[in-house]
Amino acid sequence: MMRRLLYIFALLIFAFELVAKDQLTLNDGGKVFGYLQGMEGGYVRLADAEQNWQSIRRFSPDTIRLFHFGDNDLVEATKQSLEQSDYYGALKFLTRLVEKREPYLGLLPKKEEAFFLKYIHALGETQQFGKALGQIKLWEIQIQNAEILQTLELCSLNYSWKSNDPSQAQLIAEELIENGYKSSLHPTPWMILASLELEKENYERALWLSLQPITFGASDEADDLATCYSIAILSAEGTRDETLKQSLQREMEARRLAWTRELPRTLNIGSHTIALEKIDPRPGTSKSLNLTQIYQTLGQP
Amino acid sequence: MLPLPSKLKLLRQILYSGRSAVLVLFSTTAVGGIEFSTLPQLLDRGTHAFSQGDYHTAADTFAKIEELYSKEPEWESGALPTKLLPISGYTAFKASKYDLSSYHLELFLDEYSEDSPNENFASFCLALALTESGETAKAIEQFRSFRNSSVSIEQATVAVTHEARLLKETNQIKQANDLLVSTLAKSPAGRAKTQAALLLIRNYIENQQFDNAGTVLFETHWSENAMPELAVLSFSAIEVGDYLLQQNKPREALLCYRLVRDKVRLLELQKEAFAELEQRYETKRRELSMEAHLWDDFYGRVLHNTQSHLDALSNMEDYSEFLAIRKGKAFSNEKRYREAWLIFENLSQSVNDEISSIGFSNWIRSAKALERTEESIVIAKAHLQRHPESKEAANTLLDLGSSLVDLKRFDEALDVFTSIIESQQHPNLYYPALFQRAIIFVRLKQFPNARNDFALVSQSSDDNHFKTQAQNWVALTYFLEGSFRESLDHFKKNHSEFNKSRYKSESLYRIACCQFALGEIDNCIQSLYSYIESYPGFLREDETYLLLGDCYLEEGNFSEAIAYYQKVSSSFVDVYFHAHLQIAFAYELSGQVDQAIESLEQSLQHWTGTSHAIDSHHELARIFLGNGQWENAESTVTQVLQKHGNKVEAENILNCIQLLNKKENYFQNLSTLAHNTQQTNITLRCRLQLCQALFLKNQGKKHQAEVMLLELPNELEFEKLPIEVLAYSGLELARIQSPAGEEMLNHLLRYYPESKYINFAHYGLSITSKFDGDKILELAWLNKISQATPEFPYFQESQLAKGNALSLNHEYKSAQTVFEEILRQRTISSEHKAQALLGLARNEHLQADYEKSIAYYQRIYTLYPAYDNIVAESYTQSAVLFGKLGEAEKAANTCREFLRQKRFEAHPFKSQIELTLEQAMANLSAATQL
Repeated sequence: MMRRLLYIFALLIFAFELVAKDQLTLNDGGKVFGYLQGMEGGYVRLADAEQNWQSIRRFSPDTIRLFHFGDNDLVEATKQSLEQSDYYGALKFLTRLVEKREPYLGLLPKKEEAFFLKYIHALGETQQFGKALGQIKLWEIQIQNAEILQTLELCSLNYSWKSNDPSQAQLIAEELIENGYKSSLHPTPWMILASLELEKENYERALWLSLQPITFGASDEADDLATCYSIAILSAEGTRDETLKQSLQREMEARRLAWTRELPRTLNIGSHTIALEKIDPRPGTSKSLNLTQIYQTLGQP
Repeated sequence: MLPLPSKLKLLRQILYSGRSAVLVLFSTTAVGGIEFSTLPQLLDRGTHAFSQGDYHTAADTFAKIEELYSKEPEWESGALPTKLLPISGYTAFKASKYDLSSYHLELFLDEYSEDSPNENFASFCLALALTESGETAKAIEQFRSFRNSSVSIEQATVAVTHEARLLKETNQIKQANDLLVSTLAKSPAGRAKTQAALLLIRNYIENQQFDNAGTVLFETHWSENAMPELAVLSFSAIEVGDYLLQQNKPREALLCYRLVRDKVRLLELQKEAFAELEQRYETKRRELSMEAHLWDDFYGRVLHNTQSHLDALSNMEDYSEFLAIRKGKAFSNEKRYREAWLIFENLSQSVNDEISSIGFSNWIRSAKALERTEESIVIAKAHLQRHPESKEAANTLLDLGSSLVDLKRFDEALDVFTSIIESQQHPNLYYPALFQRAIIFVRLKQFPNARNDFALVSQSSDDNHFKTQAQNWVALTYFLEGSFRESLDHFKKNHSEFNKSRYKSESLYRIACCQFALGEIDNCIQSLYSYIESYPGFLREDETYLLLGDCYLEEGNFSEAIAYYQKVSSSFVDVYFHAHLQIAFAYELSGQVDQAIESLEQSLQHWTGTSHAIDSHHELARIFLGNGQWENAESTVTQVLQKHGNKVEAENILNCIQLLNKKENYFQNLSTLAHNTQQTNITLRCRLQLCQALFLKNQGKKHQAEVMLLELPNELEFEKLPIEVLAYSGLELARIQSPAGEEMLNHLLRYYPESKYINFAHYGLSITSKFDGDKILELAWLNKISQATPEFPYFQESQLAKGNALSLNHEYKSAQTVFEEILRQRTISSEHKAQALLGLARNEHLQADYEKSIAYYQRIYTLYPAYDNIVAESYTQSAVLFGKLGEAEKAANTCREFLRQKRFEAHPFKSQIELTLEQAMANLSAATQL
């Protein structure tokens, strides 16, 4: 009985080690375990120990079918932190996950590349826009998966906007649209361009841009879509299209989208208060109006 | 598949807990080829088979235990059946042995379930087994019992969906729906609720209760990105949306269509949802409780359905573009033409020709609805180019034609409608095209052509509405060309033939108009009284009062006239405004100037629109002037200038300013006014300067006028110039070949294409083209000036230019028509008449019909001797042509007549006349010698 218990215990230790070790699945189906040590001379290095290793094996990337990293504990911890919206906590784990995978960027499957995206998201959620933007620039030339790349580009757009760099945001948004990005996927590029046009009091242009995601989009991205509705409603007011304004207000309500109190950056600046005055020259409005009052005057949906 | 260790562990835990020591005492043997097994052996065998997914063996083994041990004390004590029966019932269910399953589970629930944690599970499993064995009524009852006793609302909701399905199968649809409705009201959001909501929607759709289906669709909060039933939701939403669209509820239809994803996106989401669901399924299956098996069934079914949806979706045709068409139509019906534009523009790029054509034709309509007429023309042309044979092409042609009409590009529009009429391809569009073409002819004042087309429509169209309208138009064309008698006859005929009051009343009103124009005032009054009596409250009532007022005014019955003018209501502001002007005019004519002034002053407050306000001030100032009240007139004009002078839209203010041009020091006063006007009031300053320049021009001080006009574009950007300043200055500068004039007119064309001043640009640019020697372009510009408007005082001048241009382009017949049309006008000046005759004479001259030409020349110097240059040319050309005809004496006489007139002593034509006379004399002398 004792012997059996010891045997089971040994098996458990072995299993644990297998789990903690990294694994390379080779093209011939063979699996090799060890500790990944980065790349050198174009070869992937796999050591027999995490530190103080005795031997190291080198693999040409052509021979590797799949990478498997033995950091499930970190993956699990990240998942838990993200589920609890603890982005600072998640960032600690993600930093380690990403550091480990970074040398092999370009060789990794989508599942592994997704950690880079999560890392960028976490940076964004913790308002580290500059760092996120820099990191995206470094990675986007190496990342292979088109879907992840596009999401990273959207992150760039978002963070440029949020970090008060509208000209960069405009550039990215225009590039995305030019490259055939569809408004049914994500409203952000149109939302940003429409905001900029609204700021310039080009109501007609702002209206057309903000209507793109409203027309084609689904309610995936409720926040940005709600902003598009807000811009469209203000622009409809600017172009004196009362019918459209009312339709949009009704529809916004029916789609359970909340009126955006915090409209894009530009609306909060003084010059725009004047612009809003121009489009609603009813008695009682004056330069001293704050945004909330203006929304009330315009008829908050 | 469940992992082996966990399943074993589960079963052993269930079966052995606390009883293993006792159970092992029981054993069974079989003799002579019969296998002997002890209870533990049977339990091991059963659990092992269960863990391997071999439900048949497991079910048989568990049944054996019940068969062999049910009379044993251990069984009877309840410990063994309490544990064994739920699992054996479930196993039998999985092995499709539904009767066995029901038997074990019923046995358990009847006798051993008290305080058992497996009661819930067994109850649900029994309901499923009863369903599968076709005992529907019992199954319904069992599900009901389960949900009533279940503590989990979510589990109860799952049972409700089963129960509702069974109720529906047994035609108890109302009960099924009531059950689902009440469940949805209390169930929290989750997968089970989603299933229940979708089931309810499907039930409603199958029973054509689309409004109810719509309500559930809108009120349910769908977690669209996570739900595996997205395909069901999408297709249900399309069905409901289609119904709502058909019922003219586009807003609600749109809400439905918004729940539908494109096929590609739907497939992606379905795959993601499937993967997520599979993962959840595995997690649930690992849970060590009987409850987990309840969800096992639920998730198993959802997974199965999702997989079949995925398969069906992958194989089906892409519906995305058809969905987009529906959305586009819903947006159009909701009058959200911008969104419709975006969708149809997108569809027009489809690789599917049929869809692309639908996209184009609807895109055109969106553009037209948004009054983007230029764009609608471009789109229509692109449509016709890409899909000339499509079934939508015909309507696109009609749309193209009407857009061209809207932009006053009548020649192109005529070509389009003529092409429809002449082509045999679109028989259903023949009459609409004919009608539209007739309308263009009316706008071009080609009334006989218009009448021909209208007559064809009125004689042959199947559409009565069209027919009646065409008949009305036939009568109207006579009226418009001044043939009031014919018009009257036609309107009388129409009045007796038409059935609908709308058209009958219109004919009667028009009869009155004809009678008024013919001077048959008494008849007119009778017709108008008849209208008021027969059609009270009809569309023309106010105009009837206005015309009655005019009749009495004509008869000198001022009090009656004023009484009728005062009856005009404010429903139509233009008619109301005109009535007020007429009231003042009636007072003025009756010598009650003070009353006239008072009534105008009182009415000033009514006019909120700039144009009416200016015109009423103009009238007031005019009456003041007529009575020598210069100061009042001046103060009225100043007042209106201060209030409206700087408004861009106050185009008619020029007339007001020019009222004062007979006053002494007018020019200086304008200068003072301009000087006192603030620098920022750019529009007013420009207007004042323009009036000064026009005054100088009329005074014959052309050079000074030109200098002033040149200052306008030099000192100000075109964008800042009011439109009438652009128009007048541009034209005057074009006359002196100033490049600024051409630029101003091009600016006017580009930025104010719909302006009433647009003819200034057309005429000015024709002059520029003439200077450039481009006869064709000159004529093209002149052709754009189709009708006289009060804002364009140079209409006759432009028509004279057009006649001359046509003549020089060898279009003699057209030229003749133009000149004759000018001569028919009653209001034109003698100079213009003389010029029209000169044009006709030259036209005949160019055709070498010298006799006719001479006849026209002679009419000029006989009827209009006041215009030196025209008369001089007429004498000269007559003499020359007489010479060519060999009539030397007549030639000589004509020359002598010219030379007798002192005013031609230094005229440039004198030398040619002298030469012609010499030749005539020589010819005469030669003839005498002969």
